Amino acid sequence: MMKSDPPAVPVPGPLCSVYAPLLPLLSTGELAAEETATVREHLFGCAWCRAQVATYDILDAAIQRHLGADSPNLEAPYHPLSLERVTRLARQTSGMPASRTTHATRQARRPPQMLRFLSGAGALAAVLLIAVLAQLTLGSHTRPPKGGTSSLVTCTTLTGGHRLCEHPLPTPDSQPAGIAIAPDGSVWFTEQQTNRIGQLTPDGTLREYPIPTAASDPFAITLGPGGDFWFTERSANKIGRITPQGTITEFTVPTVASAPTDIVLAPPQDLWFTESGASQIGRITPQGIVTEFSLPAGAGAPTDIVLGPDDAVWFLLITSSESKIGRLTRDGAFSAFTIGPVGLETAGLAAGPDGALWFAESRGNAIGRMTIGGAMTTYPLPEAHSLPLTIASAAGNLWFLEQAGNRIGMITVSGAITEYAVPLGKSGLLGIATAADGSVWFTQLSANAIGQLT
Amino acid sequence: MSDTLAPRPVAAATFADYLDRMQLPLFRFVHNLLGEAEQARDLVQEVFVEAWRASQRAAPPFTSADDEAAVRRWIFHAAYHRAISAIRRRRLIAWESLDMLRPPEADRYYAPHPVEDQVAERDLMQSALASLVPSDAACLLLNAVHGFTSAEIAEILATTPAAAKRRLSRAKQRLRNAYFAVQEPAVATAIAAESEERTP
Repeated sequence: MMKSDPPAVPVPGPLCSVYAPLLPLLSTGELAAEETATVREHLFGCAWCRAQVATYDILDAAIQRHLGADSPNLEAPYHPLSLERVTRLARQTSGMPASRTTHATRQARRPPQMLRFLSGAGALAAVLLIAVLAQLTLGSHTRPPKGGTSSLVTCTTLTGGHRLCEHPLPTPDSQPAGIAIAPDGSVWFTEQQTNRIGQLTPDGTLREYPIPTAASDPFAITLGPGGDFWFTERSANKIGRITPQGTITEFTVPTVASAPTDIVLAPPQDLWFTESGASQIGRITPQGIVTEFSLPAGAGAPTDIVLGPDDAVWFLLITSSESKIGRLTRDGAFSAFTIGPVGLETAGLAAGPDGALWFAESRGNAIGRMTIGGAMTTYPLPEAHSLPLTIASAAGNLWFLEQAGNRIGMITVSGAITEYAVPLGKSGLLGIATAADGSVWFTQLSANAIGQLT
Repeated sequence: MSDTLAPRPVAAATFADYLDRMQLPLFRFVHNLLGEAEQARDLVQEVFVEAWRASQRAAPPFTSADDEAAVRRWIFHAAYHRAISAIRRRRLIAWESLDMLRPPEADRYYAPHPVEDQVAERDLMQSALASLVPSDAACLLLNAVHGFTSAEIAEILATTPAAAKRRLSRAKQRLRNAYFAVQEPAVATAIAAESEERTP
């Protein structure tokens, strides 16, 4: 084609920002046929986007040349491992490390530190205890949709005779997170992506109730007084209440962008929750009246919260340098114990059947136990890099989820650990709850399902 | 679902075959993430030792069912999590941010560096890759080099397929931005003209 003038420098059009994220995927095989057709149609009339695609073509070639399977290894050549070496090393490093006991340091008076809120160990699963944009909108009552759907359950038998059953969720990528059990055996859970509260009844019926505030980022859920369930909305900065019939009421947290994270019932009727974005503990009555307790400067960001055997609330605290456990009495008296460096990345807290507090050290790769007097014991997990993430108490033992190890673990109060492997495709284990019949329920992020271990 | 027979461990010969065929691609993946050969070699060794121990317990996928695709996903998954741990220990930043709410960068006009030789270009690619958040780099490598789909990447990274796809798009955009540099408009024009002639 003859050109008499030099071509103009391409400029993006109004639609180009829509297509921009799709262009790099053209060569990956990840676009559906219709998506590809739409993109190619746009490219036909858009020089700017064609130029972008040209840069991705050049990039693809460079990736293969320099990072690909056949790229020359310009450093020393790779010496392959032999099977003999692998089996020899496996024999040498077998055996579980011993547990160790220390004493937690009672928090001394500290100068104020700059607080950098660190997200929880769910980073790999893209679900974090992290403060996101707060959207302050008014909530309201909502009526639940009629009827429900039955879910197709699939079950497998794990070693040791345990059964793992999965209840898939109908909408892809619902991102189930927090989970709790009702007295009648119904399982209630939050759906972060689809912004709903889900209910799975014992007969297998699944109902999903939309949360009035859009994109509220619902996280933790817990049973409250009178059979209602209460949940946190991290982005919306609200606490939600849902009745067994599915009616939702929302209450706005007074402090702006407080990122309410975890919530627990302190009988007879108040619910206590952590404001991880504001370094505060909140208390909400069933009528929705909120009182907030500010933690001292330097205390850190509170994440998981439980009711302790001493009737105070206990919660994990994360500062820029330390992992701690905090305690707040009903009157608002605060104290804290240092567990160790922040690198342990404590996640998940439970009040144990032995009257002690149990927690997961996701990067420390261990389960920790602390008495309310501060005596600490650490139980390392058998396999490295398991990423234990959350823990719950049931039938005299503690159950926890290993997100990277894809296992469900059980630890006795004396520290004996048993683990059950979950198939890789069913992983992304996130929230855990235990039922009266001793079964363990959990949410599975990448499998988009509710799991049950019996 | 039938559960009559307990799974048997994978045969040693089959495991040796996996080891032979998978260790070099795994080393490449880890080396590209860590940027350091010795640490990458140690990490690959750890992964296969753990794989062997899993196979001795007949833990899936190391069973006589011989699901090679599942084995491949397993070893990349194990390597990925170890590599991320190693990177975190190396850096003082505790967490990588998800960054999903950051507005997309304005698309600027890019043209390739005029690099004279393979080594300089390779260094440029390595440093561009190193400028990515590790999980983005892993996502890109898993797809572009190792041929995993976003569904498989979701298993390896323990995330959702939709998130993996978004991450892949973002990783390629960012790698492209890091690898290329803004050039004179004349050079940009030349590329546009060339691409216009190529398009049917």
